[in-house]
Amino acid sequence: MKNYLNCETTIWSWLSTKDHKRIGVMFLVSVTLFLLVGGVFALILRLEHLTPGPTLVSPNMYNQLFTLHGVVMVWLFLIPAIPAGFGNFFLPIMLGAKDVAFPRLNLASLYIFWIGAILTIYGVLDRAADTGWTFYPPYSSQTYTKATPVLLGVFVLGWSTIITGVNFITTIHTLRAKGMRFMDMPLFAWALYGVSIIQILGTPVLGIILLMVVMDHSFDWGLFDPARGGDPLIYQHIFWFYSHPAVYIMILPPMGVVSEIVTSMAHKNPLSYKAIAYSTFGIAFVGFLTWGHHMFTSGMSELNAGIFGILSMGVAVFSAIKVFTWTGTLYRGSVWIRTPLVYIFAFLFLFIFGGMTGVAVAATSLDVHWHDTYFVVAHFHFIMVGASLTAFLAALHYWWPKITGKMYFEGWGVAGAILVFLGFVGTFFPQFLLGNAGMPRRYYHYSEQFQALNVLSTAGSWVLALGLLLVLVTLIWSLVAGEKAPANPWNSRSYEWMTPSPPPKENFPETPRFVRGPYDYHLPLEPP
Amino acid sequence: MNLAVPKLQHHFEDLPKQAHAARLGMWLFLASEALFFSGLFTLYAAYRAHYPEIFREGVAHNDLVLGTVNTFILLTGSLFLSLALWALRAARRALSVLLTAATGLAGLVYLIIKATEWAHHMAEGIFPGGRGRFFVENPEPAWAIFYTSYYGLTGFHAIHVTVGVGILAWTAWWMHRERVGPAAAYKLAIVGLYWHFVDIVWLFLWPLFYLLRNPA
Amino acid sequence: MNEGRSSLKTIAITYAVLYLLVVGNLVVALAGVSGFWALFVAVSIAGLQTLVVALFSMELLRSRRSIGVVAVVAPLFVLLLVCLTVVDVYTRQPPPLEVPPVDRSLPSPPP
Repeated sequence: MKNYLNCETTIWSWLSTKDHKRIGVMFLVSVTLFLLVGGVFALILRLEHLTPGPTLVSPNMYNQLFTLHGVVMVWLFLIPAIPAGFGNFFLPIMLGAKDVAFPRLNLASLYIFWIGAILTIYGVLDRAADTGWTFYPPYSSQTYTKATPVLLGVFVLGWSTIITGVNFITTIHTLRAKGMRFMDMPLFAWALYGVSIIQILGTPVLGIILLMVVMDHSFDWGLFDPARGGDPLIYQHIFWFYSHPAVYIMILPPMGVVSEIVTSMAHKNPLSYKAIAYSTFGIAFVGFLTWGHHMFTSGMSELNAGIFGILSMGVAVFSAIKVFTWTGTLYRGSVWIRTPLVYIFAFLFLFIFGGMTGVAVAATSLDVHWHDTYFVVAHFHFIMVGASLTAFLAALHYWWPKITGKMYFEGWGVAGAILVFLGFVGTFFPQFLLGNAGMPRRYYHYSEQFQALNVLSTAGSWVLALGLLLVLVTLIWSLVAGEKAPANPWNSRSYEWMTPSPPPKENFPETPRFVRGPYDYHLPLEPP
Repeated sequence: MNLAVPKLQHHFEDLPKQAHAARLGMWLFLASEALFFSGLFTLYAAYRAHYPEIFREGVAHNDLVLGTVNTFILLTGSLFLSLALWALRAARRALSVLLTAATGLAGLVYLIIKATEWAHHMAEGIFPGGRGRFFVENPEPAWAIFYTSYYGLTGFHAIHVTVGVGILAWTAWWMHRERVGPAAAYKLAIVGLYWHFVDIVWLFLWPLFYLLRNPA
Repeated sequence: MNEGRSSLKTIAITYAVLYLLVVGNLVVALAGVSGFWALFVAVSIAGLQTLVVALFSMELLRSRRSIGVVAVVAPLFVLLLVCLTVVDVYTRQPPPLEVPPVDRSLPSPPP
């Protein structure tokens, strides 16, 4: 049967495609590649910390490595991974549309992504930036390394993100199938709506401020140089106005994935559809009011610190609403424990852990103790890896049959999930203890007393890498040897399972009519 | 009369929906642009809070006449564009093409005046980043900050005007070549959204860089 | 929303108001108003002009509600960024750029 994969097969047909599914697949392949690149950087960093003194790399190279690890993971993997990859692929299908609102712009966003990625990687090859992914001036204006290509790369990547956001919101507003109201949309679409708001309103602010740093670095503008009357804190304000909400760009789409998988695997209505949908907006908006909690120890005013500290805790309220709704959905469902759900269990555990430590560091008094220590490193890795990456892997397994038309190997899938979970906890849990004991982040050396936990953390990183490698290999192998996937392997009611696997070019064999909601598990399953 | 109707893309139900999508998309893009400029406005606001006195003197040092003339030129350009949209919807294409081109011309005149102003500054030895003769005579660092933010904000605005002029010229040519009718007016309206937005940015830049000059 | 269109009269009134506001802003500046009130008036007039341009020239009045939401939310976020940053500059203690110079000399060695 003709589907979106085999309707045309030339390389040019991929490079010039306006099909959102192919664009989504190309994004997925690209971000997976960058996950590997960023992962290798991380492994070298961990290896360096196996012993207190010099182990593998020079101090300068260490600085460059943690910068590039951050830049690659944040802008080349986490931010585009789920929205631009799975979002592009599934949003139109879930709405019963044939494509996104602006298909040509969609393709442009992919090329802009590649151009930005090439710029950034160019910055890696030649005297790589050593500023940390936050590019704080005045250091970033003065470093001898080539910060400019990396900064410009991130600026260009921003435009890719903005275009994706504009496309998604317009698609949701104008291309829902006949009769589908907002409250009939699958929850993943709500998550993408929330994330698009942040992408549109946050990303440009980052773009402009990084451009100013480029001016400072390349043309010596001195806007943030205290010696010349500049105020570096203004940079930090503007930077975090984007970069804190960026955390929600990384976590809202995973939350959408969790909502989909939990309902599908529990075969049950979400405990409260509205709670999940509305709390998405709660997070998106409150997320914009909390940026100052990155600056408690930077000399910000006490008044602002108080305001930001209290508002930051508000995020936890909405996150908790989601977590309780998901667990409530699983309760008394007819739960199928498959690989995606195993990842979701890991997600829930790690997300609560990361979230609760987040509330702790939002308290100014505690933050003074933990700021710039490994405690913070562990906290945000619990969110970004423990929650976002885990949900990415869950989504990869959950939608693998739909995207590729092949089933992954269930046994290997579960094994991979368990390895990833154990490796993750092994890597990052010791870092909480290290940070609390006072080990600062971004330091090349550390004192002897921290070595035992650092060795544990490094060993954990190997297990994590092994797990990810296993996932990659078995998934690729399943393309060759996997069973042919049925249209709806999970008995899900969500709309993307109503079309064959893989879907035809126009998404549905004929114009779909959605007569029931995406979670109506009390109704019988209609034949696909 | 032979009036072209825009093509309906395969994934939209009907033309009004396609038009609405385009319009919404443009508004979302402009929201993004607003935040883009907000970063620069924040720089201005925060540094004005740091150095109120020198910022005021810096504003007084700018050429009020040229700035005000530019405000009127941009506003008149916007007026032409509103009229162009009205004309196209009334199926008077030739008039609409003319008015659109006139808007682009207004943008061009604006750019020439702006460039003249920059040339004056540079003749005085004022360059971004606090370089030039002027900053030797006025060594207070806030002067450099003021003029860097001035060049930054007006420069980014000028880039937007330049892009706008290009788009307007292309639109005028497109309306002429394709013999478009009222059904395609939404495309001109979208170009208009962008142009009016650029106008709004200047309506803030004008007071901030030319009017707030009076000593307390 | 192609069918409805601004009449020439609306366009005339809109731009008459805009020109008047520009003149008003200029007059206030030339009249020598200074300090907080100058800033307040100038930015308020610019805001008013924005409102007029958005509602009439950009046809917000006749657009769908979804567009209206975008047009309201974006300026709010601009205000949020500008205001909270400026509040920080005003409320820092001691005033940020007047911190007394740090004594960078080495402590004297013990006798």
